[in-house]
Amino acid sequence: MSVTIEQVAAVDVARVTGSIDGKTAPGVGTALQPLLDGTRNIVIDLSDVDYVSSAGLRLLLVAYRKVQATSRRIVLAGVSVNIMQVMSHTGFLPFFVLVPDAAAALIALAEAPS
Amino acid sequence: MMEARIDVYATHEFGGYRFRHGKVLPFGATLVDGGVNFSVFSSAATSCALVLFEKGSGEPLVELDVPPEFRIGDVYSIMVFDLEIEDLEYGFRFDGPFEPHRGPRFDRNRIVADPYARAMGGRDTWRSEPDWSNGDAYVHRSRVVLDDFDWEGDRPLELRTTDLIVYELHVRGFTADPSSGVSAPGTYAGLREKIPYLKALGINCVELLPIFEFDEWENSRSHPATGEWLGNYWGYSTLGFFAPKAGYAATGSLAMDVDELKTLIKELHANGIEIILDVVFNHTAEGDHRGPTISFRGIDNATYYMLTPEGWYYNFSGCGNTFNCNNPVVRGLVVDCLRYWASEYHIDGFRFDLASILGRDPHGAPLANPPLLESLAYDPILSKCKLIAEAWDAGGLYQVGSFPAYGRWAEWNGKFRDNVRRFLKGEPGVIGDMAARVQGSPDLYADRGPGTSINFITAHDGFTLADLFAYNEKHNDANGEDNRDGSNDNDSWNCGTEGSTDDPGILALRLRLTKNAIAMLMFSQGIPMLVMGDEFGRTQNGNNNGYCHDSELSWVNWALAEKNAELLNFTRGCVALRQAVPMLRSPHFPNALGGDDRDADIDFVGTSGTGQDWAGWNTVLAYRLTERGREEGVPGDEMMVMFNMHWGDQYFGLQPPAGGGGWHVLVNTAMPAGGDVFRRLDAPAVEGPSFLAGPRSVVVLIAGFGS
Repeated sequence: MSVTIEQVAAVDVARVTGSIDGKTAPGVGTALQPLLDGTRNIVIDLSDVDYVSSAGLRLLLVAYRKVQATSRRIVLAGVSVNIMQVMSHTGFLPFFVLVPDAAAALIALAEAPS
Repeated sequence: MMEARIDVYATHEFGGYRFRHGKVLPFGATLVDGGVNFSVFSSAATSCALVLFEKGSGEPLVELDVPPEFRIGDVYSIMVFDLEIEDLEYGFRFDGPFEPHRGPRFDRNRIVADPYARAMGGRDTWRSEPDWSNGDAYVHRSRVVLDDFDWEGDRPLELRTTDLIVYELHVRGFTADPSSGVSAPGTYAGLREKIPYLKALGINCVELLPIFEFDEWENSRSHPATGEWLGNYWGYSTLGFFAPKAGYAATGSLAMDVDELKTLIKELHANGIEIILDVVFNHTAEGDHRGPTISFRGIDNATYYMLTPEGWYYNFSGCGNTFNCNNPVVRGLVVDCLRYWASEYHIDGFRFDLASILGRDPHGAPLANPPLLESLAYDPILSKCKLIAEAWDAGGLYQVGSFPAYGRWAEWNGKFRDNVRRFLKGEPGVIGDMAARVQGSPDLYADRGPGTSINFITAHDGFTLADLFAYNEKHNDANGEDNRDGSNDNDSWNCGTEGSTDDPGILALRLRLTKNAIAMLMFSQGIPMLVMGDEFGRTQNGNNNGYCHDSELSWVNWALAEKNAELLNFTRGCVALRQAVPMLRSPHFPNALGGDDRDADIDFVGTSGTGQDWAGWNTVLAYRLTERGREEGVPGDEMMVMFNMHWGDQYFGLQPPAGGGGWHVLVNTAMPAGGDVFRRLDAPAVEGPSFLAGPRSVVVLIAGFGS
């Protein structure tokens, strides 16, 4: 698992690689913390994530809510079909905004909030 | 922020694992700051060890002997820090005497599951073939769960009991067939995709066959002739009372079964549908003295099971052992379990399999005032839950009408099933009983009300409704027991030929009898229960004991919804009419003293319109229901219900409705599609002072509305 962070325009993009599970979720959380504490909108790019466990979904949801609580926006990009299906079965899907990839995420965040 | 607690630190360390004395309550494994608290009861053990595994691994991570000073009373508790819980599985190793004649059956060579395990591994993918090579392996492993599901304001619906229309279903069988068209067949997620169907059907409560963790491979075998897999498909054999059946979750192998089940419940509730669980506390999957040691037997055999003075297992369940429900410790487990499901899963009610066992003392004698039943009836957390008893057991106790109810317990009304079946096929001698059944069985539940009576004609156990009118005899050869299993008393009728036929006359008669059955269910006082697929003619080819089949035989074939659309539309129509006529759902019996202005009064008027002929040979019953009126000047509903179970036509004299407006036809099962059921506002008017009902038909009229 690794997390790389870059700033694109006024948006923080966090690209996660590997699996987000009980073992790796704390590390992902630590890496995301500066973004959650920051002021910009956030894209979490999961294009290179093959598996998100129960703990991983909870980490993403907690991050999501922290950002929303500060009137910022956050989107998930590049979620695989398998992960999306798991998110659907377990009820996590409706909480998130999903877009196909990071480029689409930047466009989505550039638009006025609905 | 400073740590708020001063006791969250380890006092002991072994093999790199840090731990301390835990909290004795709650039992089971609970997440605490920085660790997991484990607590387990055994009154007879001499020592206890906590064994931790990484998911799926044969070798433990560590085995932590619980230090003697960690025991308080008979409870061993240990708090272990820095565990990664997602891949954690655990169990206990107890030491103690093996003296079956006295009770204890400890086996320190085995690891046993936590009786309070919130989840269990080992069978997390349905019918995934187990590794049989090591018979002593620890298979059904306890797991720790995250209990932070976001319910977004959901809670149990608390629908009025008499407003329920129950739909009994098997989670796997409901969508396992490819014809279901769902993305995850045979799972909680698959059932969730069918919620729009259930809503369109009009039911407002699903009752799920057991979803506590069980082993579908228990007693599994191949059919001697066909080689077909036979196993424990129904699931009436519990491994863990706090754990959901992981193999019913599409995400079970990912250990997300808890979230998937809660998501299903949340969405059922959002659609106005309650959820009742069929719970099996009468026995466990450990069987008799020849059975496996999985949990209870190896922890405290004499506490958890009813034993003879010689230490054998009493068998009031017919399944080898009997759970010792009125032992105070076991009673506590049952109460804790139901509280957990009601509060943590938002379950709306429970149906207790072979519930009469719950009223027996530790020696098997029926109790006048069973502590467990009383505890459940008065429990503060379960106070709005529906409690439904299958009021008999396999030890000969039959308590329909006399189950210790404390004003709370409802019953599966076996007499409704038996009387209605005989009436439907035209047997004489049942109209007196039928008069009580249509009123919610005041003869059985005089001081309790029609909400006590779960009315059903079919259930998972027995013929499907279609088979009830297609077979005189059971046909259970596919079960591999030479047709010896299953009930011989079915009160069924094949209508002229045994099994499938293309004779249009027989098919028409079967369809009509099926509609008659649906109408009797939906227009009787009490709580109707349908079985999955009966609304569109599901068949099990005459098999009345489908417990072992995980195949087309036991699954719902959704293609029948189209093929038998006439029956499905009729059922939908009758369900909608029940919802549209409040007096059918009154919590008080007809003619009740006092009561409410939406209660019904009933007059049995017979074919003359003025008085019922109660002669024993008579197979025709007609009555008039009159709602007591709603407010000044607004008349209540009036209905005429006519059951002509005779093979000939029958004229019924009609007295005009008291409120005027004439009679209109809601239901006439002698008519083909389009004329068999109407919405209230479309109901056609009846001409003349009488009504000609066709052979073996049900007619329901309503006053005042219609065209």
